[in-house]
Amino acid sequence: MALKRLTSADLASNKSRSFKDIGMAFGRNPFTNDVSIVKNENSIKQALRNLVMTSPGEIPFNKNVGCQVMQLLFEPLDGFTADTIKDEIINTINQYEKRVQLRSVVVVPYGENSKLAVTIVYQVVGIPIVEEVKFVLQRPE
Amino acid sequence: MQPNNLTALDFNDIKSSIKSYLRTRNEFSDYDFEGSALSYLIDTLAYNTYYTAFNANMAMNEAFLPSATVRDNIVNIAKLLNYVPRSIVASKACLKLNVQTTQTNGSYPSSVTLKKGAVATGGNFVWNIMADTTVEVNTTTGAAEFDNLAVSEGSIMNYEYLVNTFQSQTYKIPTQDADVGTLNVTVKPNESSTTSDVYNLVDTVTNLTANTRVFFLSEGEDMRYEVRFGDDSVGRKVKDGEVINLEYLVTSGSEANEVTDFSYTGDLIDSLGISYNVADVKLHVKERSQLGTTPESVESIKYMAPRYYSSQYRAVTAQDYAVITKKIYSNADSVIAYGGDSLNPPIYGKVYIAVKTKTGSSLNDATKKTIAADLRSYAMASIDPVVIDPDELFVYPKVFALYDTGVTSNTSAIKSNIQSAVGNWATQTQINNFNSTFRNQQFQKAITLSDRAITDVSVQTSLLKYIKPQTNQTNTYCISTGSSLYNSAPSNTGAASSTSSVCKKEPVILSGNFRTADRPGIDQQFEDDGFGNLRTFYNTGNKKVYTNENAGSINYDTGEICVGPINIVGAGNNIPTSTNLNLTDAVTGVGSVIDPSLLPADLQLPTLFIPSNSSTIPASTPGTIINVVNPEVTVAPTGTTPPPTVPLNSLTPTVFNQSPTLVEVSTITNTGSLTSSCF
Repeated sequence: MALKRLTSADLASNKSRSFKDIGMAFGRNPFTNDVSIVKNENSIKQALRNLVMTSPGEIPFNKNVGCQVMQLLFEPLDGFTADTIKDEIINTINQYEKRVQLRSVVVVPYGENSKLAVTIVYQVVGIPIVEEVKFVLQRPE
Repeated sequence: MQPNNLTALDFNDIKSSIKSYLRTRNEFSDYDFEGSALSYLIDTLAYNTYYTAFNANMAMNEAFLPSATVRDNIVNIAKLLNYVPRSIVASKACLKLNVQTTQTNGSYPSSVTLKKGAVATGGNFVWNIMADTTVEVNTTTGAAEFDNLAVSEGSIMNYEYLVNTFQSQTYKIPTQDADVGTLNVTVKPNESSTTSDVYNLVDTVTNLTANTRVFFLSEGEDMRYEVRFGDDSVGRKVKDGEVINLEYLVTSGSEANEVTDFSYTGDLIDSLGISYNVADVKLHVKERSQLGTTPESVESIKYMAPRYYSSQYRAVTAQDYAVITKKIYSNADSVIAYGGDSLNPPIYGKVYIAVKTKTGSSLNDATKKTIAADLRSYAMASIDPVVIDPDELFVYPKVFALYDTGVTSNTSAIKSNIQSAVGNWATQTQINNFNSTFRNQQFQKAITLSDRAITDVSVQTSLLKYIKPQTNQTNTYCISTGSSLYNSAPSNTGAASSTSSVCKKEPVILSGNFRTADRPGIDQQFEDDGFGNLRTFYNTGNKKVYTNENAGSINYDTGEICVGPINIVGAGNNIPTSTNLNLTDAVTGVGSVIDPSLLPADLQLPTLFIPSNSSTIPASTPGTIINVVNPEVTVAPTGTTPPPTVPLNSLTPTVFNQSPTLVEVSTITNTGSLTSSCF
């Protein structure tokens, strides 16, 4: 299909080079009354979390995007499973999030209900700052 | 920016379109990254748009017959065209049962009845008759014979509906494997009633009154047929508390074709109430099972529904008559219809329908009347359909082929090559049918090319027509060749000269043998005198004795030949027996017939004649069929002088006392076998 052609005016220099995304909570900005937005490192953090939380097949017509961790949470929680989950996270991020360079992924089981503490350490490409995102993976109740 | 293109139907195209819109805005920038919330939102939007577009496209496609794909939708659209798709059809076989009855009190029963239902098993299927069948028993031997018993595969089912007018009811046949051709609808006044009315299937509402007991059939959801009744305006409405009984055959369709082995399992009872078991019955298979079909395919419905609609269930043009005749008479191989106004002299207000049957035999009067009566319900007012037999003109070619002896000496191979070439020629030209023309040059070319040894081909052509006399009735019989006849002596004007008396011309017409009522003891023939008169004669062995110099007339220009008034009592080999004759003179055959009721019937008198133009012989009327007789082939080495192309003095009509064998025209499509007396 014919798409609207982009001209140089569309990509003028006044366009922001930063990253800007809708906040996943779809909250309201109390000052503008508009939907809340997340920027730059926060948007990347949100994207990483989203990717890990998405199961393959959830996205229509693109069944490869996503990470198998949700299925793996139902496996017996041992070192092997934790290792597999770690590999899954590394593969997913390397493949679908080109903005970051992974430094390390740490998956630590804790508690009784198959909980996993995930820590992803990464560097945003082109910016010499190392960032970290932490979240807990848990079976849906 | 406004979206400038709304034709995207594919998910990825829609997604790209949204992204390209966002690219022109500066609110968000993360749409290109799979993990972003915006990307998830775009996916949702694109998916939603895709879904709606697909739905709209599908709904529009399904609304039209050519593009619909779902069977229920196709059937619904066809319903608007009053087209009922063909259901599954049960396979049928033809059996003969011989039953030996037993005596009760010293006498055999008068009849024996085969009960409705299962009659035989075969090929893991059950074979039924749909109604009780009764035959008479031979009173001396006690044998009874059920001949041509057509059995259908399946099981007979009954399904009842109690009519409740307080709710909206549909009366469905609750299976998709029902052969609706066997559907029998009866309605009882109430559940305890033992009598019922039979309702008949109708296609159209014409001729229906408020009390006509009819039902309409249509295919409903999931190939289950629906029975609908009238509304007390067109057709009787079913009333509250009445009980509708649907009886039908649930069948396996084409799976049960080609079964050849059957064993009897039926229920026989004679007029004295005695039942017979399997040992008393001998089963003979006359025809293997056939004609079972699957339900009509969606492709077929899409093709047929508009075409049926185009004829509108009424006959206006001559072509409509031909189409409808084929529909109502399945044994019709080829049908042609034409208005009487195109005849010479014109006959207004009549449409003539000539039917060539698949079996090749002529229609009897009863069938003609039935077809005409069936057609009348489709015909426009004041138009009278008349079903006639085709006017059959036979072309009798004699082939003389000269071959090069240096190439081969195997004349039988040449002959068989010629015969197969004639067969191929016949198939390609579709001769022996309506609207065909015999073209001598094509015929000769086919023969010339049939074998490389053939150098020359010469064809002698004569025409044959049959006169069908009524036994022992004085009539004048006229036939028309449709083209002018050969003039055997153009310079002979018929005037007597000073030196000689009037000479007759060589005859160009010669009939087969026949017997007349005044000379039943001797075979006579007729020929022409060259001046428009027919002459009858008999042959004593060494001379012709003319018995009537004015036995009929001929028009050489139009080919009209009329013989009579003449009373014919026999023709060909179909002659009166000598014991039925009272001869006064054995030499001249003069005498009389003793008992006219013993005279042979169904006479046919072959008449051979020579056309003036033998290179192109067209059908003279729309109802004429040009039949080509299997040619007589003579093969001779090159150098032999071929015989003349005009067969003067060598007409041999007596070989056509029996109907001739025609060249075989292979059917291009399989029209099915209808030669059986069963189907």
